Amino acid sequence: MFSSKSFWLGVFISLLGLFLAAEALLRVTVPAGFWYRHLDVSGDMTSLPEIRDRIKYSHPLERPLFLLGDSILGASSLIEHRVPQARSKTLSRVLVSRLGARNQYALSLGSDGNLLTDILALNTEIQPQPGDRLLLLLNFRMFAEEFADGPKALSRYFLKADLPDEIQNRLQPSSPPSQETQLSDGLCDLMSRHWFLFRETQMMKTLWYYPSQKDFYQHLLETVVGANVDQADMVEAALKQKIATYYQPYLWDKNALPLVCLQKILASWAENHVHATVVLSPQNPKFLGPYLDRPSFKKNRVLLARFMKPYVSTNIHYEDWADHYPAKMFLDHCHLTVEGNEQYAADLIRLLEGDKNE
Amino acid sequence: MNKKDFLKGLGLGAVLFVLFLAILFFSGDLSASKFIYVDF
Repeated sequence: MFSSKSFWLGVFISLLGLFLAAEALLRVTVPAGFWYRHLDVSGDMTSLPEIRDRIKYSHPLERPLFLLGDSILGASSLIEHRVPQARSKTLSRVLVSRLGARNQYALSLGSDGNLLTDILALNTEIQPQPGDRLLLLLNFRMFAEEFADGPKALSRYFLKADLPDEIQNRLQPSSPPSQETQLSDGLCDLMSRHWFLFRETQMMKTLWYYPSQKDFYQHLLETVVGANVDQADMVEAALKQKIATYYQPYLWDKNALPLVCLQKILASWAENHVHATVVLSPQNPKFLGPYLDRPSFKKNRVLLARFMKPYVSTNIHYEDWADHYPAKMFLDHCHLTVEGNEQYAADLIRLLEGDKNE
Repeated sequence: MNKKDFLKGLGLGAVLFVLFLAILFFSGDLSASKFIYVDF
């Protein structure tokens, strides 16, 4: 059989036919918005072409309300705290669903680890138009000293091309990436651009490998052998140690990338007459003191309010909600419980409705 | 052309395609520097 030409011809025709059929199917269904209507892929980004598809095709008939932010909008913390059906209880999902009930369409571009540099790049992709509506949720960690300059100031490097040259120059690593890294990034970029099957499978992979591949396998292991209670304490301690650097005594620098990028975002919104609402997202008051430096917390909030002032107008609205909720509504330093997300979404919608009526 | 062998070949092609899809869906990230920082 294996030496038969007919057999290998069959293998070739079958493989080629299935590849072409899958590619054709995706090239029709992606622009029709089919996958975005049926799957919630918010919370992560896998490639620039996929983000372009998401912006263009999620709501092909009208411009949605764009939700911009970081993991506050997504499910990672809920999953980390083992909340069942976490993806259906995220802030973005509650917002999208409640706004949908009012016939207003929203699209979340919030992703884990997003920084203002990423958001500036996403804003370039959105190409704000007069009349567009945007909601930006700022998080304290976005302004941390470790993201002020250098390669850590951008979380997704495929967004780099959307940034102005002067910002790209400030993201340069101290040593150039290895040849292997360059090759894998180049290959990934090439395939994402030209091969829909690759682009879409990478996007769908985030439905299970979320927040990361490691978490997926750890969760799987826990369902088989049970959770390790001692390990939960260790994970909690590791998280606290990690976030401590976000909240150390540090006054936000106007020349650091987060505020430079925020300035460019606001300037673009003002120029294009978009309706934007910017909210400094709530922080857990329990973390004030042991982790979150209280004097810096106060001074930075004042600094941000002053920074926003020249841009605040009838079209751009700013709210400081850093101490908006009690500690019991938080899972950790900044992510809210399921009830917290419900409350936050209700308050945001009230704010958006208020802005719309102004 | 041997029709029986051809049909077997079609079947193997379909199995290989499914295996390839599984690799695409379950492999690790190809891009090494795509996602630098994870926070939650």
